[in-house]
Amino acid sequence: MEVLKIKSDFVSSVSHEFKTPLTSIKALMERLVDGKVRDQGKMDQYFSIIAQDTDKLTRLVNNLLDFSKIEEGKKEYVFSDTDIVRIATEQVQSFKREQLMNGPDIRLEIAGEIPTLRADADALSRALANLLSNALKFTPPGKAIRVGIGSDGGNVLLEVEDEGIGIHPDELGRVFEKFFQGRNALDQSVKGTGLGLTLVKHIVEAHGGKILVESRLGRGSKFSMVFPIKS
Amino acid sequence: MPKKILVVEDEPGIRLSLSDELESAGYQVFTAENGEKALAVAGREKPDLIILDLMLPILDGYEVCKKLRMRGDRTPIIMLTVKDKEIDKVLGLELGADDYMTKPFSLRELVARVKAVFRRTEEKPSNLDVYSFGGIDLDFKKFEASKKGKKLELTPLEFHMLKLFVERSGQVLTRDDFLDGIWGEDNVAVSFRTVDSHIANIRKKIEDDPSRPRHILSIRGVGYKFVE
Repeated sequence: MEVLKIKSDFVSSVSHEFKTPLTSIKALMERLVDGKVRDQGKMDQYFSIIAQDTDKLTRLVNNLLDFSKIEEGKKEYVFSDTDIVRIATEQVQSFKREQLMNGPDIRLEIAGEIPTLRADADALSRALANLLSNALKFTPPGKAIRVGIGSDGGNVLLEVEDEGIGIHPDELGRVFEKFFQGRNALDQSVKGTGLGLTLVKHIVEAHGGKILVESRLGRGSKFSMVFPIKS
Repeated sequence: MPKKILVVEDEPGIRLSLSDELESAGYQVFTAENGEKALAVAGREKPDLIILDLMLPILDGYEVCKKLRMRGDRTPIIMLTVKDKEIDKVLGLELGADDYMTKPFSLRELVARVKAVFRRTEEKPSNLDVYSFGGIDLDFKKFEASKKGKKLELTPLEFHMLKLFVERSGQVLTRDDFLDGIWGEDNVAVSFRTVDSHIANIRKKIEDDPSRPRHILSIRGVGYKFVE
């Protein structure tokens, strides 16, 4: 029964995650196609939201495919010399473009020289995108999200810190479990599939690294990905 | 004066396209991106209709609907939901929504539903303004109802359904009669189950024992009959 319920809840969540951006794109496109949007500024606003919703759908599909491969034990990573600063810069810029005018402020902080990592660049991008996407969901307008990169010579640290609603202390140990959604998120009707953090953990561990989480209820959360520097 | 509509939706694209479409159709539109703000705007602006998403931050759509009805606000509500299970729709209707639409929907259909709700809630010429039976007093003009002197919270749609019952007292009404008489030409997307849900709600409000109704009787295989 428990498995059936998890399956049913998951299908319902995924369906919700697909239908919401699809509804938005469909409605915006309907007005554009009908020639009801004439003002250039308004048109730009429509296209910008359509682009954001398309990005959301792309992330969702990627997460589902990755999750499926991981479950089947078929997920493979392609390692090459990777500039983690470039990845973080691109992701932060992409999420800033997605941001609405009154959304949280996203800042990128780079501490000193960051060495190149042997890593799967696409996977690292997705891990960071998942953390940023979560931070955005849980952080109200007017608050900030910080992406920090640093290195102690032996490791590279990539962290995402938000000023959002936080996670209940007794749930901190469960946030990386597949399908898990915290009750603070559910109370706030924040939507999700419960896969994002599971995938992030898998990606980090596939790189020999570890992921840490700290959170204070009502104050925010910090997810830190620590990658060992290997030759 | 244009009719006022409050759009409560947290997704920016849906909120923007909906409000632009409704403004193009001649309505004055207010927006809210969460349930708490929705209650505040509804209290301040007194909209003629609320379009309410179910999955909202802070306070979800069910809670908003419940709180509005509890404070005596009978503004018609069209619920927006991605949930397409019957139980979710029935729950929304039981909490006092007048109609619902499942995402993804077309804007044209939504505007048609909005117009339909306004047609239903606008006064229709009729000689029947007030009616009393079995301790229940109905004022169809003022949309006021009471049972044994105690105020009854009926939605505009429930008033219209009761009026149809009263006007055809003693006759058997089919679900199609309700679709034609209440939803009119906009009944394409309304199911028989929706009619049943609204009737169940009316029974809960007017009958002493809704499981053994005395006024709104089920006529097996046909529909319903109103008796005093």
